[in-house]
Amino acid sequence: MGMFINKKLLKKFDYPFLLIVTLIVGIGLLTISSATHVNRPENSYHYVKMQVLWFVLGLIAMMVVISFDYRILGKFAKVIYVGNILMLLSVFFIGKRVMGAQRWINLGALSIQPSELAKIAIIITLAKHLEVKKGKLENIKDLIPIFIHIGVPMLLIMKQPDLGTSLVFMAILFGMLFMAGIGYRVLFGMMAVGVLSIPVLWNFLEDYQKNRILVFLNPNMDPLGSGYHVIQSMIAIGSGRLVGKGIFKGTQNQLDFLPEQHTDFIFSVLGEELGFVGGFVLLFLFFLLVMRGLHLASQSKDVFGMLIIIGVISMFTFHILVNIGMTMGIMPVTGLPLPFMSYGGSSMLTNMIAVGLVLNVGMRRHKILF
Amino acid sequence: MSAVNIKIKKRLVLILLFGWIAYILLIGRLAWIQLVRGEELQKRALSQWTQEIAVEPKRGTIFDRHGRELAISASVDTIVAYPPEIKNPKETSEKLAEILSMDAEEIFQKITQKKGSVYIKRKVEDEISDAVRELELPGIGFTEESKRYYPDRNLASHILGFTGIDSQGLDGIEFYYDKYLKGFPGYIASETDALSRELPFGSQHYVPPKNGYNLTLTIDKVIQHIVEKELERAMNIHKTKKASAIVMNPQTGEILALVNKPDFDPNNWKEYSPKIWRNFAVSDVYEPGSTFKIVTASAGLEEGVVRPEDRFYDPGYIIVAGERIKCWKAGGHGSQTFVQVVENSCNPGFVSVGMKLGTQRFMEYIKAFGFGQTLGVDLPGEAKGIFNPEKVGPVELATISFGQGISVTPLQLISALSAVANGGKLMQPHLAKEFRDDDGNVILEFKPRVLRQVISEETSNEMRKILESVVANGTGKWAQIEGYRIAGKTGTAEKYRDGKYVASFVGFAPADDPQIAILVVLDEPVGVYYGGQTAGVVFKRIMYDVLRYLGIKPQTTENGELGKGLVPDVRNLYVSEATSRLLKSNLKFKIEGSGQIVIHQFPMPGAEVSEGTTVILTLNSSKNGENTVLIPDLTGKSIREASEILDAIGLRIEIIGSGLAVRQEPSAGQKVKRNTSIKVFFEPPSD
Repeated sequence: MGMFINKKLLKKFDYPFLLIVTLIVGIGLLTISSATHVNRPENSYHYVKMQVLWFVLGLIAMMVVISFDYRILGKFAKVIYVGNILMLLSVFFIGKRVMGAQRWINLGALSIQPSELAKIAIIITLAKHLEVKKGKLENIKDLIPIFIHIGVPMLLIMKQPDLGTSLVFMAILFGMLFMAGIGYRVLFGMMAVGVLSIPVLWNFLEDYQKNRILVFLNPNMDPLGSGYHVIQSMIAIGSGRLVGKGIFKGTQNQLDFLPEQHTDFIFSVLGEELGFVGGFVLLFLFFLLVMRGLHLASQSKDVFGMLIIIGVISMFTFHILVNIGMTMGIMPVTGLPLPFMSYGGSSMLTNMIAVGLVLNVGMRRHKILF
Repeated sequence: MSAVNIKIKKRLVLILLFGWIAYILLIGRLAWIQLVRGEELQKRALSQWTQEIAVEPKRGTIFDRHGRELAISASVDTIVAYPPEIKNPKETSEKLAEILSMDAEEIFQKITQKKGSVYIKRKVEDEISDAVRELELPGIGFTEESKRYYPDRNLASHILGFTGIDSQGLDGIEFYYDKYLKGFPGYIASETDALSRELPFGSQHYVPPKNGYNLTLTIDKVIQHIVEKELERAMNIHKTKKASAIVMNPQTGEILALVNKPDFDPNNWKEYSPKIWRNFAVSDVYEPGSTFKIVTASAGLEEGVVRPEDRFYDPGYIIVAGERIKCWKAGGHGSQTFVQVVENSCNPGFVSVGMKLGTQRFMEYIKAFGFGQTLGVDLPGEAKGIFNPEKVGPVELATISFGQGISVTPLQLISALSAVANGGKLMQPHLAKEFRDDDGNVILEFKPRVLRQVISEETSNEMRKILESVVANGTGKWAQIEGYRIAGKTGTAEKYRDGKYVASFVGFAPADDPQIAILVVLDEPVGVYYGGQTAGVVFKRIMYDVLRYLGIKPQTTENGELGKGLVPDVRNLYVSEATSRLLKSNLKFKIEGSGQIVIHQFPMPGAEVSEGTTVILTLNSSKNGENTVLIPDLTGKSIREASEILDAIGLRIEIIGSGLAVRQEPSAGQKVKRNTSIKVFFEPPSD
């Protein structure tokens, strides 16, 4: 590390941010171990070990990211953008199909989801794009290049199909535009157009996506089909009550009434086994993570750095809100993982790279920017 | 630059605010689900992994008052499928369809559901479950459930009711006492997961079910059987639409038998129309007609508006508020005492009693006797009857006095009669005696309950005498039973449709110490419709069998004209039988001659003598050893009886025909030599 980073920079390394992340990952590992039933003799620690491995890989990736000045990334923005598009296109040629969606490509022993890394790429390139605009975002004409910028990768991801990740792009775009100083008039205009275009967009959705949204609006419409997941999740969380049933003792988790309990519905396991207390602690850690991120954003040296952090925080926030909201029946089922908690390599790697970006900007901050 | 910075700072604050709101929203939602709805969701969670493997408790047995079974539960198998374990659903469903005589497609649909377990067929007979067991199909299992059986089929069906597939009481006692009979289900906890696969079957903890309590009823199966038999007979003879009867212990309100015809088999209750499930005796009303005069008379005596010896004159009608109300007897009954008014069931006589009472007093007695209200019998669907004291004008008062313009349930009438008979106490009619658990401990005991004192002991005493004389001298003569003191009252009510009647008879015995009260109601008898000739005869037949069954000894009345020391016919009986019958009739006896059979008696049968009179019995072989014998009367004897009698006195028999003896040659009373052959003609009994 010393090779790349001098001591002065290390002093500004934001340990609290990494500590929060590590704590959440720790809670995640405990929950995954229960969700994959390591307490039973016939089950191994496979998933837990894999998740630890991905976290370590993630830490290495994070260190790589903080080892160079983030402003270098700005210079390579165009390269990153084109590379990202090519990677997304490659999915359609060399990708493999899992559960009806073509999202994965194989890299040796590991498979990764290019759409995950695309989020990072878009945060960096969009930050650069907006920095160049220098706050000139007062009318539609200013915005069109930005829409094209984000629209191309978004459409490719939607085509996979992966509605959840496309929506993450919208969240990132919204957060970054807001902090880049978009005029309120344009912002509200955009929102109005968005709402009005819902009926049109509806027709572009796949049947299962329409179904998910309908069932979200009324989970009892199909209690054994699509609504099953949400109902089971709410039963699991609710039955945990104040202090939970104890780790490894959640009946809904242990008896597999909970679906996808180590990935999308990891929060339900936590809620059932550790109760309101456990859920409160986790939500509080996420809250601290976001608040710390925003603090670092406010300290950044330049608009580019600030927008990178805002992009990352927007991404995290959207994932957290949609995932946890889904387990509690206030968001539709979209299949977005819970950052640092859900089992999954691509997601862990992406999130740790994102953490690296935040820390990178934080390390190179001015004493006072604003 | 600073303007931009201020703008960014402002926006950062807005984003911060958004973060707070989002955080509070999530915490709030979490609290709502876990803290507010926690209990409810915890129950739902619990039910998810225990519901499908609940273990049904054994439903309590229902006994009659002497511990004889009326409804029992037996363990039977229910066939269950565990879809995740089924390897070949098509083959499985085809094999099962054959044995269970079900549609293979239907079974296939069931066993391919996304469920941990599913019922295929519930409560099958043992042969069927054994056949399924032999197939050893993977993913097909059994659970034990209990099935309700009614071993006596139609007997007491309206009392017992029936149960549904989940052994839940749906009607009758089964419904009314379901809470006690059903018990509490047990369960096998944590035995199945969402796909019933992780935990092997048969392990983990088992919470056993708590069996239902066993119920003993006040019903006597033998009496119930007697009543059913007699009502069936009456239905055949009188071609009635319906018939009901209730037998009650008037001292306690215990129902000893309750029958409605037609009835149903509770084992196959679904095959009958719901109309037939209906318990007419409790849930439906009818016009009581003259039987209701018991209430009028009791009220009149109690209030002192009439005395037994008061005289009435009946010209055949009475004018009330300008309306002419006729007596049932054209021309009227003329001059008579109040006792005779009751004996003759004279309408104008009762109208004048009702008028002397006045609307308010009379209505209060009617209410006090339990009419127009439920009595709280332990059966579902008890009706109140149709009686509205507010709407009673002078004409209504008059008609109610003789039982028209008021509708009552059979249960209300017999309860009111019991109050009249037992010293004036209205008892709560009831069917349950006690609940016991499996170890025989009494859980709940139902004691006779006095609802209220309606009339005094003295009035009750007077009424018993009057009602006895109705049977002895009046319209109730059809109900006379030799040697017993019977009290009762007939009733014949015309329905609003022309030519349709409800004939009834209500009464009790012994008149001086009432043990049994019986009400018989025949709905729309064809042909003869008078209560006495139809329902009265049914009453008599039931009462006769019940008195004998209960071992209530015949007695002679102290001053009544009926059976005042009537000498029974003991001729042609064995000595032992003849003497015991005389003793029962409070007579003494003296034997002349030797032998086994009584061939002559003095005084002759039917003679009126006082108690303690000696009857001289002459046996077949007399002292002087004469070679001639007196031919006995064999009419009504069976072939065996006739042969035995003739053999015992040294005569031969020539049998012609079969059945019962109708005539003989030479005829009875002639003297013939020993070893003479007697021709006896037998014919099958016509009834």
